[in-house]
Amino acid sequence: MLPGAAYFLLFHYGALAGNVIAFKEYVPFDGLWGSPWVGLGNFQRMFEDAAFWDSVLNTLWISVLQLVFYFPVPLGLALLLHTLTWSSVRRFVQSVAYLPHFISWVIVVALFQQVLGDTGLLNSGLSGAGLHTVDIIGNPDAFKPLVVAQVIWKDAGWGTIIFLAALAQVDEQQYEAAAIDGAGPWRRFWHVTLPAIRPVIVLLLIMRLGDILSVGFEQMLLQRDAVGPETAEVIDTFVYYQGIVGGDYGFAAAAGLFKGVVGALLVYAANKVAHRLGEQGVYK
Amino acid sequence: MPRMSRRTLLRSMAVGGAAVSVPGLLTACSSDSGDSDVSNAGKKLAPWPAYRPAAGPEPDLAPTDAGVQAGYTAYPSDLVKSVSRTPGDGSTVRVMTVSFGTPPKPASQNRFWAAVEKALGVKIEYTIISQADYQKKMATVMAGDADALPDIINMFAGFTLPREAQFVQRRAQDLTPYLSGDAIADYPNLAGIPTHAWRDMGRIGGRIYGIPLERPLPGSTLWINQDMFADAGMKEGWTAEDFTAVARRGTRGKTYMLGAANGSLFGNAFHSAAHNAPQRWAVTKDGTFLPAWADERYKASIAFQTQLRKNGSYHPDATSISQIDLTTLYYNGTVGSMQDGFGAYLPKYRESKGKMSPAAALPYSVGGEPGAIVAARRSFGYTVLKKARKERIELLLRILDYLAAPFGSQEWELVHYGVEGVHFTRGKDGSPEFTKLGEVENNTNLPLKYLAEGPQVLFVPGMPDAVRALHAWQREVVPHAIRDASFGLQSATNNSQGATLKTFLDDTVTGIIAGRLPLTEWDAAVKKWRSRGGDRMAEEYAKDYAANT
Repeated sequence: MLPGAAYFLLFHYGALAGNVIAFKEYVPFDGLWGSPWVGLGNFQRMFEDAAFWDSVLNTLWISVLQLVFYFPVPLGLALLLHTLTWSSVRRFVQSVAYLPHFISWVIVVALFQQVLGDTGLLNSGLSGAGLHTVDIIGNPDAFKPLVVAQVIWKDAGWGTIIFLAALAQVDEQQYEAAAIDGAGPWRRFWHVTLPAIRPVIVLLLIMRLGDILSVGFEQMLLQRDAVGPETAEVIDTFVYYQGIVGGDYGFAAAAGLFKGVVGALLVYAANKVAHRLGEQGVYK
Repeated sequence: MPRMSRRTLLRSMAVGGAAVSVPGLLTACSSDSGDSDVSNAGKKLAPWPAYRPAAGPEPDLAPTDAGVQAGYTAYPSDLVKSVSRTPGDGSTVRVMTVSFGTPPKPASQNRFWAAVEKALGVKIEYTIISQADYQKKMATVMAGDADALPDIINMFAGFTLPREAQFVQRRAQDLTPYLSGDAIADYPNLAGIPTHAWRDMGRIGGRIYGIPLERPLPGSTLWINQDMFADAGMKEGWTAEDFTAVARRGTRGKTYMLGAANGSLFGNAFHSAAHNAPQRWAVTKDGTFLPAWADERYKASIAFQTQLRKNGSYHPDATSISQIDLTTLYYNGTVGSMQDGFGAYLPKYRESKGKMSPAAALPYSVGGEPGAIVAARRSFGYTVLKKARKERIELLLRILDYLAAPFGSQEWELVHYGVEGVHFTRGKDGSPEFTKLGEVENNTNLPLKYLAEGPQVLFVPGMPDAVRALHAWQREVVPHAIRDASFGLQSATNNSQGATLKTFLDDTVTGIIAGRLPLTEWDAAVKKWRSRGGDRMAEEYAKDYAANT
């Protein structure tokens, strides 16, 4: 308990104080107190910067795509795995599905490049067969679906864990009772399985909303130059380029703070909605 | 989570919204950063160190005043001794540099490291940063505690570090009393560093803070595979149209004539110079600074490269591949050319021995006007010292003086090749040839050369023809080199915002050549760059230029 509390106090709550640099023109070697205050100047610059809004828009687009296309995948996969009765096969499939989660983004992006790149496996095959090649990796129009596909490939298996845990809690007697009453597999799924895991789905959805402005950093950074910032700049990479590369730490902190505040407000709003719908939500 | 009432939330949003709509309110309590201190304008300028060339062997190929390097077709047989006593006192010295090699073996198992430590009379604690991580690492070093800084820090010139001059001014030792004018005579090898290197390193607030790493005049160079280009029809005095035809003709199947690495803007430096565009900044006779990006010739070079990309002459991974991977593709013949610094000739010739024929490309002409090359900053970076008492600074300078030994000296040989019989043996012509141990224990993996170095000469061990070819190439192109007029000058705006603005323009150039953005986007980008700080930079450089001339 104590190490956990210390971890959160030091690295999460304590670190919040660092947000003060969003209101300063922070010069690292002048320190926190030596750097001059700029009031809300960094926020003004941020709101006037078209590149910032481009990054917000890209973030939202990718986030919505992930919500629509990625979020249901682990749930569906978990339901499929749950129907497998042969436990050794289930364990094997689960292990294989988990594996990509442990591969770093550098490797994942390189793998996709090797397969879908201009000189990759797919195009080699197409050109070998005398067909036209397709530009996927360097095509800005294909970028957003591509990153969602990468997330699904990497993390869908890992995302099933929590749903499988919820499914394991469903009382087997309810299935038996429903079957005796004449409910087929779809009826049992609709009236037993789904209501049982609905609180978990809502909980995860609310938490996902809180992270709506976090769509991945390394994944975007590694592919940004191939399609350009107009397409691939998200808030996290914007903060990196402004802060670490550009040294404009105050400005970067303002963008980061904006992201955090929007995330907190979304969690708050979604939790309210969940309560209205009779769900528990994240907190009472 | 604390509860927030709907009223509180709405009130907060209203306040935020009102603040955003009233810029004056937002900036009411802002203050000036005052980082204009780095400027040399209005400051008393410290005289440059007095240049005293070190005695050494006569070159076989003479240098020229215009900047052609001295060439040595054979290794000198009689090495001079350039340092009279062991510089160190047995203490530990912490150093930090960039590296382009693989990490070295630890000090306890590294005989090269041990030999250098013995010669210097100090223990060296080395922090080595790979080139790919340099910018990120420096960001944390610069933000860190002053006491925790290493004794000697290499400020590598390959990146635009934010607030670099400000950092140096606040954190590093002012070396003016030790090096300015005749004071440098106490360090004879440092006195052998030519004035052009000090000038391009520049002063900060009128003072001298570092020791430059001298480099030859040619900068970014298009390294070609001579055989591939010759087979595709390369000829003397080629034009831009000839270049396009050669690039197109040689590109077939999985072989591409033009290779580029991520961030190199498709090798834009070579092409913009061939188009005679200014390199970053030009200065007029009346001292006005003009940005390269607003020059029509620069825009023409982007349009030219866009065509090359469009017709398929570039390797498709030009926006995502690393320089290291590109070098592999160059050696194995997948790409026929790559852009790299001129100083990369040594590994190019050494690594490609027997496999391919590297050569520096001559620039093509555009519209009948002969093309030019990029003039490098004559300082590849510089070395600064952590603030310390006088005796300690003098010790550190003696160490750097040792490392700056000239070609043809015993000290140069030790630092560049290690111990004879252990790390190298002598070839037929007396040139050092690395042993197996020398291949892994050397100054690429333990990059002492980025702490201090004597003036560079043209020398490729065992390859006199390569030296002659490079010397002949320099004689042809050096008179047509285009220099960035801002070298050695300070601009407060560039110091604080240069890195961000450079990223913005680089992204736009890459986007246009890659075909993602139309060429018409360029003028709007330059306009935005000007308004966001470019015009301020021009004014600041002009002031600093006037103060320095």
